[in-house]
Amino acid sequence: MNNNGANGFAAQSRQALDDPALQSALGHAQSGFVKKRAQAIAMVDDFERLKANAQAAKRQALANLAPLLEQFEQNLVRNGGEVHWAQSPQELNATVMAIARNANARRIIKGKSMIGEECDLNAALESAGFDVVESDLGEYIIQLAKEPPSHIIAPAIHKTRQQVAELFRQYHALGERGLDAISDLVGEARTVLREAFLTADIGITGANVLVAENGSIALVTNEGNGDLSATLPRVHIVVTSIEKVVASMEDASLILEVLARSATGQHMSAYTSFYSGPRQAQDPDGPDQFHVILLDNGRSEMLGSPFEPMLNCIKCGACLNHCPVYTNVGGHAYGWVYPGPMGSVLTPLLQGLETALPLPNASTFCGRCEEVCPMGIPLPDLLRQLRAQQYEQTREPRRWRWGLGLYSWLSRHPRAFAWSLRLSRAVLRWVPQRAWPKQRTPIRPSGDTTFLEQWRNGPKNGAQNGPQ
Amino acid sequence: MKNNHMPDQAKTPPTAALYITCLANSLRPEIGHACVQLVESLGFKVDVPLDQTCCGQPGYNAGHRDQAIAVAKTQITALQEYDWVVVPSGSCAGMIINHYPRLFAQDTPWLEQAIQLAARTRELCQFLDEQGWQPGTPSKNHTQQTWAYHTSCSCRRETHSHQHGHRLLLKAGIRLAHLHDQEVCCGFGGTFAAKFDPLSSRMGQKKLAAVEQCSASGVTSADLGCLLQLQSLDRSGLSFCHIAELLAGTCAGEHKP
Amino acid sequence: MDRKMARKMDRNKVSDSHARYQILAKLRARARDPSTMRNSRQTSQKSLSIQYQSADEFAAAASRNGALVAFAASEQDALQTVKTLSEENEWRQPPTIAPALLESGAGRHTHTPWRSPSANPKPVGSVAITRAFCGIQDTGTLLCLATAEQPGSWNFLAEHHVVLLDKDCIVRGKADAWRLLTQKQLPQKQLAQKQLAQKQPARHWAIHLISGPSRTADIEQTIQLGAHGPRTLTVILVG
Repeated sequence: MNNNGANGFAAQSRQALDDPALQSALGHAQSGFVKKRAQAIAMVDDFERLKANAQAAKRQALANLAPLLEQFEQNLVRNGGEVHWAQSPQELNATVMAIARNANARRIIKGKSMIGEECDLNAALESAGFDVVESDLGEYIIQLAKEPPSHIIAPAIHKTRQQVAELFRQYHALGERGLDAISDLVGEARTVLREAFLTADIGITGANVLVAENGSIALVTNEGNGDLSATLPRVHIVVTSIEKVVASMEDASLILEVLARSATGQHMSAYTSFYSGPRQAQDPDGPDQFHVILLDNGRSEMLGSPFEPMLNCIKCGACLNHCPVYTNVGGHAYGWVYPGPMGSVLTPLLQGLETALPLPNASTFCGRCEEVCPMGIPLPDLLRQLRAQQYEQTREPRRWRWGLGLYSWLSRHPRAFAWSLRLSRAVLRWVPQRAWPKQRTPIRPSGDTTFLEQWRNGPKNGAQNGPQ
Repeated sequence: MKNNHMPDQAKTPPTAALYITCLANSLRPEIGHACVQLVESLGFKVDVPLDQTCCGQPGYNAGHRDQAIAVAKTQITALQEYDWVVVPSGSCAGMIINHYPRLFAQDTPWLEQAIQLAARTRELCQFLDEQGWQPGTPSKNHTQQTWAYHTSCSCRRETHSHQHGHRLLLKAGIRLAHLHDQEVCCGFGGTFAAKFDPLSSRMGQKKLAAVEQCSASGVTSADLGCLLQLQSLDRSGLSFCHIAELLAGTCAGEHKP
Repeated sequence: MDRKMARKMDRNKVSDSHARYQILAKLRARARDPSTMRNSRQTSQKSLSIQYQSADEFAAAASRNGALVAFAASEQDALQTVKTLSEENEWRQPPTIAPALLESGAGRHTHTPWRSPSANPKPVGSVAITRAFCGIQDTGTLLCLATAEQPGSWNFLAEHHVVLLDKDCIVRGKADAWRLLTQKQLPQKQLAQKQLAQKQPARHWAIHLISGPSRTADIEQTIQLGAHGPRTLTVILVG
């Protein structure tokens, strides 16, 4: 993890801009995701209606979060599963470890889970002596590289195939073989990880949606690794968060209609599975134990606050893929596990604004994220609110606080404003190149004086006061 | 804006205030003259309220809400008298139209005024197109060039007026090249360019690469901020003209840096 | 009492942890009044009846997902098709197959019941044959249930997955599929009635919506089939 976390965004983003391999990788990614999403949406009759339906389902769920969570719990327990509640990442990790110890587990196989990343679950498990293997190919790659994910859907998006081949050569003792083609790499991962699936004691996955009416969880994957992790080991642990519950299978479907299309441009992912508890007596396979751990970690505080819209996030990644900032610097610059526009809102909310001061500011408010968000989250508004919090908490760099304050005062005093413009024009006219960043040519003011001055001196002089 | 505010029939001709924007006022005053010419050609009496300063967006976007409210009040007062307020910027027009009412959500008298002002305010291209603008005799020098029309994020997503601009350029006979990735931000973002200069520069350079790819020799836009951002990064001698100047035929080609 | 017994007793008890209490209390305190929420959903289907779609429409959608699609008049023919495909593609014989399917007369196929996955760690060329509960046309998706006869793992462990789907059991969207599955609505098609003649258990531990072979684009955004699940998915439309 970057030394400075989210607060190191400025330096980390500069580093990212100067990294040719990363820039090339980001180039592929952006065109891939953006194009595929557009194609998928073009094939749907009325994507706006699908979005509206998903948003309505979520809105109703958020208005009934406590009762729905209780209903979910009741039904899952009736199905033979266990529900645990965790207020913090520490509590979640401790719960996972308690379950693992109780089950005399040694090896753990994991499907991709952003909640797991949020809690740094792997580190906790590894230091407690468990053998943890990530099964999602992207997560496996970053596990080998000992890096955090740089995208919430494609965690290893920043890696080139050569970098992946190097990692495989380093960590898989398989002798001489060709690893030039991507198919070679995927094939090798398949073989290596198959062993892990077959021998794991515990499978840990996330969940995309929780369904209250029947106590089930939905898992959306393309690789099948999540399902193998949920099916083969004798214990299945689902680490998830409280805002993911919806009322019914039908509501879950409404969210599924927009999730894969927004994330990868598929109408459905290859595998969408609903798990409702441990295996039953007649099932030849499936886990004996089924645990769901519900994490809060600041989400209950978001409910009823101006940031409640963020609870609608379904982690599709569309905002990242379309963000001009993210697509230029990648995920690591953001310093934590959630990057891009959604990360710039979520990181300050979950970790505290003081740990992520640059993030809400690293946006031009171009609005593309809000435009593509299937859940209609007003991301620029939320970022602006975080900036307002920074201002209210006096966490803004002094020069901006005072500079904007002065400008604001001047804006309320037209004569002083006009005078200050005369001064600024003179400065801009004469300031040397070295006062500007070296890749920029200084902007020089045109005309003899400001437009308002010219108008005051002769409103009908239109063409005569034209360009120099 | 789907508003059907009709000018008061008792005042003929209807009055339009030009809200020049702080950037154009201080750095490119010729844009103001072009706007006056364009709006007068439609038969409006144009006035430029002299106590206008800045819409307050820099402070607003930085989260200085109290300051934004105070500034907005002064601008609302300055713009009270007019049937229309015409703004040569999607960014500033968007601030007045979309965000002023939100600033006063709790304050009913000012909210009412903000809503009234929002209803009378238009981004320039939106105004011209809605009022049926027709080109006069175009000036000779700019129609030789091929221009790339950069659609600002605020024209796209705040005022929804980028297509008006495109229509007007075609009407005026301006030769346009098709710019790819039009929906991607140029990297200006107001104070963003100063706070995150390397990132802002990379975004601007990518936009300029797209201009180069379409073989345009000039860039036009309805937002001066975007034009200045791109001009400061340009190394290849492109012309930069606000859309008002192109439409009015007052664009002299390359602005001296 | 031993740990297992205690566990079983605890199994049906809802946790009364401090975290649970705190979290639910916060959520209740902060929730807006639920009575102000109106269900503003626009559903495309005004009625709650199940909408069926044709096999051809399903085939088109499934092909787009990368599934191979074949047609067969009967189950026996379907299994014959699998034999042919096995030979053409050098799939390993014999396939893993549910007993009920065998009863339909394809006795030539002996099968190795795949109960213990660890007995076969490198299943190169392995084939699993299962039957889908229904097909979902709008996304070309198969709804497969984990049952005593068809363990859930059969959908994922084999290298080649073959799924038999009755033509009469193809519905339009997920909502229709849930209605069919939960029997909230009577089926309109004959064969679907046959499916439902066997009453569904109260729950299936797993319901799998399968829309193509396993894939990943995690390396350089380049799609590769056969990440961890099956490399190929073949749907045989029967009837």
